[in-house]
Parts: sequence; C-alpha cells; structure tokens
Amino acid sequence: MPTFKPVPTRESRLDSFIGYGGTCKAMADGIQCKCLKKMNRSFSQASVCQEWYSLFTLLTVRNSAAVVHAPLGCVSAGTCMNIFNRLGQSVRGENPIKSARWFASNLNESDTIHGGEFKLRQTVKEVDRRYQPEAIFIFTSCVSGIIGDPVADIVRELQEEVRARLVLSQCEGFRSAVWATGFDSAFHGIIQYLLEKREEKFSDLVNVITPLTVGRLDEIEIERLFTELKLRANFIPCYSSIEGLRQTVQAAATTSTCLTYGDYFARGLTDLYGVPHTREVMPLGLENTDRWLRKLAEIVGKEKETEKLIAREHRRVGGQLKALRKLLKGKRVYVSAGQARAVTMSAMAEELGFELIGTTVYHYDDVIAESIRRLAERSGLTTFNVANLQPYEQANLLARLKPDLYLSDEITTIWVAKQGFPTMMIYDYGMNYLGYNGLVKIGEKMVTAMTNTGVNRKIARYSPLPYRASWYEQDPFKYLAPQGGNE
Amino acid sequence: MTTTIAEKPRYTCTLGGAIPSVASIYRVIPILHAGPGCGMQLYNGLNYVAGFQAPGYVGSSAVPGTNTTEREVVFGGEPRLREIVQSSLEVMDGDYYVILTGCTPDIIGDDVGSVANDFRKEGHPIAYTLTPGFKGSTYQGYELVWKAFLDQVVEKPTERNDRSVNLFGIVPAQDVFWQGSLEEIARLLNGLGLTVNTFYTDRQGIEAVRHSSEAALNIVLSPWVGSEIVETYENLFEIPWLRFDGVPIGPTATESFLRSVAGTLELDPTRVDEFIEKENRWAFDQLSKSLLALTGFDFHQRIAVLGDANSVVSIVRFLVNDFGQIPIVAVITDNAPEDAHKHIVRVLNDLEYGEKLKVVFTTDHWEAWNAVRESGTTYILGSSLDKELAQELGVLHLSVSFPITDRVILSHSYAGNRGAISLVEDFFAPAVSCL
Repeated sequence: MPTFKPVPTRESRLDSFIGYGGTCKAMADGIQCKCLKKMNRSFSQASVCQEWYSLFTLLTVRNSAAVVHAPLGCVSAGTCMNIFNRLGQSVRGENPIKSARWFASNLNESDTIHGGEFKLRQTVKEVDRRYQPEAIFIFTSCVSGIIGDPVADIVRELQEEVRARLVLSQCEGFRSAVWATGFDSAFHGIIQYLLEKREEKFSDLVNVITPLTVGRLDEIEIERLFTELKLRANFIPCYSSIEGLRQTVQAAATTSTCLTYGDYFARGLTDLYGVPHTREVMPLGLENTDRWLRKLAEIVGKEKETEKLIAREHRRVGGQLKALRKLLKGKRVYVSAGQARAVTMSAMAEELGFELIGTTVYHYDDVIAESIRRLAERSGLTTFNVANLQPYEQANLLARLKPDLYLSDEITTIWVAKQGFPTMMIYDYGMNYLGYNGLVKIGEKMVTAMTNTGVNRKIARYSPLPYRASWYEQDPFKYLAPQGGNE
Repeated sequence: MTTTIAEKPRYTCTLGGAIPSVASIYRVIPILHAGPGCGMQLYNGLNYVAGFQAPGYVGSSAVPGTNTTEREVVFGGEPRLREIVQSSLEVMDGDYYVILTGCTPDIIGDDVGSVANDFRKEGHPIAYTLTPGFKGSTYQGYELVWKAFLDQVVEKPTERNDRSVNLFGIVPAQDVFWQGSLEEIARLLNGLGLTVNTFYTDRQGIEAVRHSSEAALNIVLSPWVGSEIVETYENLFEIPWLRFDGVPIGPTATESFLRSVAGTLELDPTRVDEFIEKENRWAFDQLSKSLLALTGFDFHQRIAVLGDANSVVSIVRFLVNDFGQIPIVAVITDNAPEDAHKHIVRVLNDLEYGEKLKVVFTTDHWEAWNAVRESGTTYILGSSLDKELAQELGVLHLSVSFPITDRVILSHSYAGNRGAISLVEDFFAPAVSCL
C-alpha cells in the first residue's frame, strides 16, 4: 500500500554526487577504497533539477496528463519535451501526432503565503473533466515544498473526486542536487500509486526501462535481438500505456537501456513483485551490448541462444567495424553525457579505434562503478570529470586537451562548437545508437562529423566564450571543494 | 468561470523573462540566485522553443547560478550567493553582472540587495532585481530588469542627443522574432536619420544602456508592455515616449509608424517623405510580385490569430489592411492586464475592414482552442502548439507566435516592409508545401 513518503534522494540512497575532477584511475581507486571526497562547486552554472526529469519521465505516457504544483515557470520546458514527444510519434509513423498535456497549478505570490491547495484541487479536477485521462501525474516543486502544502494528503482526498488514477511524484528541486533523483521520484509514484499484484506471469516478457532520450530506432534494434531470442520487449514508460506500466509486474525480467534511469524501478519490481533485473548500464558498443545481453540471458535462461546470437552478430558487423577503425584510428575523442551513456560511449569510442582523452559524467553513483573500473584498466590517465553541465570546466579542459571530436548533448555541444572543436550530438532521437547495428551507425556518423569541420572553426572566430582569459590558465577544477569545506 | 488553470502557458515566469532580458545584451551576465533547475528549465522553455535559438554570448548552461538546495532553504542562501557572485567575477568575462532571483530566496527571505550592494561598494559592476517566478510572467521579468537598470545602471545624461531613440516593448525570446524585428525597426529609423538603441542587437552592450538617458524619444512597440519603463525615463530624464500598438508590419503600418516618430521629433518632412516613398515603392513591388500566388490560389483566408497581443495585433493589421485577408478571431494569450483589453480590442477593430473581429483574452490553451473551433477559420496563425488543432479542423497553419518548434528562427522577422514580405512568403508556405 502507498506510504506516501517521498523517494530517498540519490545522495542518500546511492552516495551520488555532482563534483569530481581528476584521472579516471584516481576516480576508480577512490571508488574502490570508498574514500572519494564528495565535492561541491564554489562556482557553478545553471543546471537541471529533478522536477524536470520527473516530468520528462512521465510526460509521454499515453492517455495521461501532467500537473505540476508550482508557479507556471516550472512547466516551461513542457513545450521542449513535447518536441521529443512529437518526434517519437513521428518516428513511430503515427498520424495525427498528438501533443502531450502539461499543466501548472499556477501558484502566485498570495499562494506562497496562504497555500496552494485550492489551486491544485481545481487544476486536477479540471484536467480530469477536460480530457478524461486514464492517469494524472502530479508533480511537486520547490515552492509547494517550501510552503508546505500537504500534497500527499490532498492527492489521497482528490482521488475520491476524479475518474483518473492519480499518481504523485514528489520531486521538489531543492531536495536533491542530483537531477537523476527525478527519475526515482517518478518511478516511486508509479510503484506506489499504479502497480498491484497480478497472478499471471509471462515467461517471454521483458521490461525494458527506456528513457525518452533513447529513441525508437534503438527500440527496433532491441526488438530485433529479442526476436532472435524469442523474447518480447515491454518498453516503459515512454509512449507506454498505463496497462503497459501495470504489466511490468507480470514480466520474466527487467532490464534498462540506461541503468541510471531504470535503477529504482527495476529494484522496486524485484523487491515488491519478484521480477528479477539486470544491472548492466547500457547496451552501447560491442562489449557492453554483449554484457547486457548475457546478463539478461542468465535470468531468462537463454544463455546458449544468446552466445550464438552474439557470435553471429560479431561476425556480421566485423567487416564494417574493421573499415571504421581504419578511418577513426588515433583520433582523440572526449565524451560528455549522463553517466551510463558517457561510460559506455567512452568504451565504444575505444572499440572504434579512438584515443579516449576524457569523460564527463553529469553525476556519479555506484551504478557505473564497474564501468569506470574497466575504463581505468584500459586508459587510466584520461581525464575524468563529474559535472552537472558546468561548461566553464569543459571550456578550460578542452582548451588543453584539444579533441578531434567532442561527443555530448545539444546544450553542451553549442559551447564546444563555439570553441572551434568538431562536435557530435549523441542524443539524436532519430538515430540508432544501441546494439550491434547502432555501433556501426555511430561509427559512420563519427566519420561524417569529422569530415567537414569548418563551420565550428569559423564560428569560433566570432563567438568568444564568456570566460576571462585568466580562467584558462587556472586549474579546471579550481572551484571544486570538499562538501562543507567552502564556507 | 474565470480560470486560473495554466494549460500549456505561452509564456514563462518572471525569472524566465528576466534572464534573456539581461543575457541578450552583449557581455552582460545574469547571476541566478534560484533553485537548481530554474536556469535550464527556462532556457529550454523559452529560447529553445522560440525557433531553436542557441544562446548568444552567455545564456543556457553558461549562466552562473547558486543552484540552491536544502542547505540554503534551511539555513538561508546569502552565503552561497556571496560565494557565487565572487567566483562569477573571477571566471565570467562581462561588462556588467545582474543578480536575478527565483522563488526560493524570496520565500526564505534572503537579503539579496545587501549582498549586491556590498559588491557595488567594492566597485564591481553589479545590479540586482528580485524576479521570483510566482510574481508574474515573462513580461514582468523584462520590466523588472529595466527598472533595475534605471535604478542602478543608467547614468544621468550629460547631453541630449536629439537624433537618438530607445526601443522598448519587444521581449527577447518571448517574441520569437525579437532580433530581426529590432534590426528592421532600427533600419527604418536609420532611414529617417536616427540612431537607435535596440540594446539587444548589434552587440550594443551595457554602454547603450548607460547612455540611454541621452535619447530624445522612447518608442514602445507594444499595446501594453513597458509603460512603467518609459514613464520612469520620463520622470527621471524628461524623455518623452511614443507608443505604437505592436510592431509595424507592411507599408501601411510602417508609414504610420514612421510618420508618428517623425512628427514627434519634428524631422525634416522632405527627407521623411522621400524615405517613405522609397519604402512603399519597394514594398508594393514585392506585393505585386505576390499576385500570382494571391490570385492564382484565390488566397483569401478567414484567419484566426493566436499569441501575445503584440504578434496578434501586428499580424492581423497587416494581413487585413495590406493583404486582403478576412479576420475571424484573435486570441490574446499573454495575460495582458485587464485595463489594456479595451484598447487592444479597439486597435483590432480599427482596421480597413468593416466586420467586427471577435477578440478573446485567455491564457488557457483549452479556452483558446475552443474559441478557434467555434470561429469557422480556414487558416490558423499561432504557435506550433496549434498545428494539432489545424490538423483537427483541416485548415492551414503557420507558426508566428511563441512557442515555435516547427521552424528555426534566427534573424527572421515580420517587422517593417522587409518583414512583411517574409510573412507573405511564409503565409503561402503551408498551402504550396505539398506541391
């Protein structure tokens, strides 16, 4: 039964943090001896909060609506997320393409004094009346948290008055510096408000927890591999139906295309419903895809078929990889991304013949401890950085490292492009990154990305970055200080 | 029922407006004292969805910020703010720095002014303004930034430049065409022999703000935004102001705009006439070039226009007065204050077209769509959010107001005569794109 308690933060549950700078080996050693100092920044730049990622997690669930109990600025990014919601439908061949539904309870100055309960009730009831959604996801915010609205109680009472199933995600931004806590807040809500025990089990059904940043073409690649193993994928939560979410308790196993994202839900399904889960971080690159498949095979008892499949796939793409390695050999690459994508992409870059010169992960938790250890064994002296964006650190690092190719999201690559370095966006939702086909596709795209790099070089001449010249002469990690030690 | 429901609001919060109002001035750097996600939420929710606009010199993830967490909420955020301002001065290369606050420091009662003043006393170029999101919309954010500039940055004039004007009313990013529009209006005013402080284009920077008190005239391009800004200029520096209801689009509105500026500043009538004649000649040459499309497709649409008052007024006025279209409904979504409603309705009905136009004021997506559904429109000009409605109704659609995610907008604009011709080109696009 729901306990209506908010999810523990990643900081408390997984010892997560957002600040580190050093070598990959030092990071790996620190993890192993459990003696990493948690760092804060005494200079920091704008970042993303957990409410953003909580909304991002649930916004594309079919026949649902999202209500954020907040001033309306806290749903601003709804329009941006809707771009990816619409892209996803487009790639799935759907027509007409439907926009997601997002609302704010629209707290104003007077509500911060008198409480926002009335507005939350009014909004949820109105959403229910307008669209009759199957579920309404309700999110909290800094303001609702600080003014102390008893949101869990309100939601419990409101459930009696509306037809939609209400699902609360308690994701006040200030509660966690690690935005990935927002994934957990969203899945915590699903576990508490949506799931219930079901008797029937499906031995061929595998939950594949997949973030919106992993596109449909990646799902197709996973479906292709699953078909060979006679498995069915239940991709959740993006574009999933409410029934698809409820069905998760009936699956034979759970895996994630990004363990950072799926960790909490996968654990929940194991602990509460006995659905076992794998803990491989992302099926990206040869080694990590092999690993990802093997772990799943162990659970569903398909080891033999999987070994055959892996051997077959290696043979199939071997020739193409050889050709790609020739073109990419010795090029110096820097990878910056969410922790799961960053570490697997770093490993993959090495598989493709690149020289890895650095990795930035947006936060760290023990989900990627093993991956870092493996990276350090191969290339321990590369730079390792934990940063919730913080492009000033990147600018300083890259001025020294001068990469031939920089891989990151579309927000970060802008700054690196202005510095003149070749960039490639690695969250292209119309692209296949995962699995064996993805490996070849990325390799080809990397070659293209370095084929004509003139635009960034030319833009750089007229687009100075907003940092003082003196900044580039200083330690890029100058503003990292042990937590509590900088005041 | 008057609703407070905010479904898919077409503007952001006070802080959302304040950030681009500061950051779009070259080498002026906002410092956010706000929650850990406000900066990116508002970049993603504003510039990103204003036709995919990458940040300029600073913006997006490069904006310094305190990213307040539980520690600040419990113990207060002033020490953290002090630390971040200090380090911002060390790292960020700016000509001016402006502290902007989000909801959290306001509720917990941080004394931001005293932190800012301590740094000012040490001679650092720092201003501040309190812009908690719950206080209002993007538009209030813009106004608060300018009030802070007037209070803390704008210098007393040493001389009056009787051929210099300031432009206000166009909010960067909230007006997706802000850059191109400011550039075109400046081009037109240059044609009258004026120099123009747009502040946000041409890397004008903080110097233009500092010396804006020397201008001979403040021009506000909006039926309602910016009153307090220009009234403050008037009180402090005796600068008169002139309000034009929206952005002039097309030869009729452009001529009327230029004549009112010229009249106020008593410019040489011969020069003014010559320039306007040249502009009109160019504009009507292009409009006549559109006749193949206009008459060939018998393109007289019953238009529904949705968006902020500025966009709606400006676009309706042009398409009706200069381009033969039939206005059916105007939906104003920018939460324009009640006392401006009457004026906006009057402007929208003061057209060279006899029938009364239905004007709806709502910030609510649901109500906006219902007004369009009932209208019998054949062409929706609105945000890209309205594409879905156009598809439902089987009518044409063009994105002309925030948010826009179905086209890339850099210096594109519909302002003036150049812009009007761009609008005509775009106006036909959805009709011919299948050919």
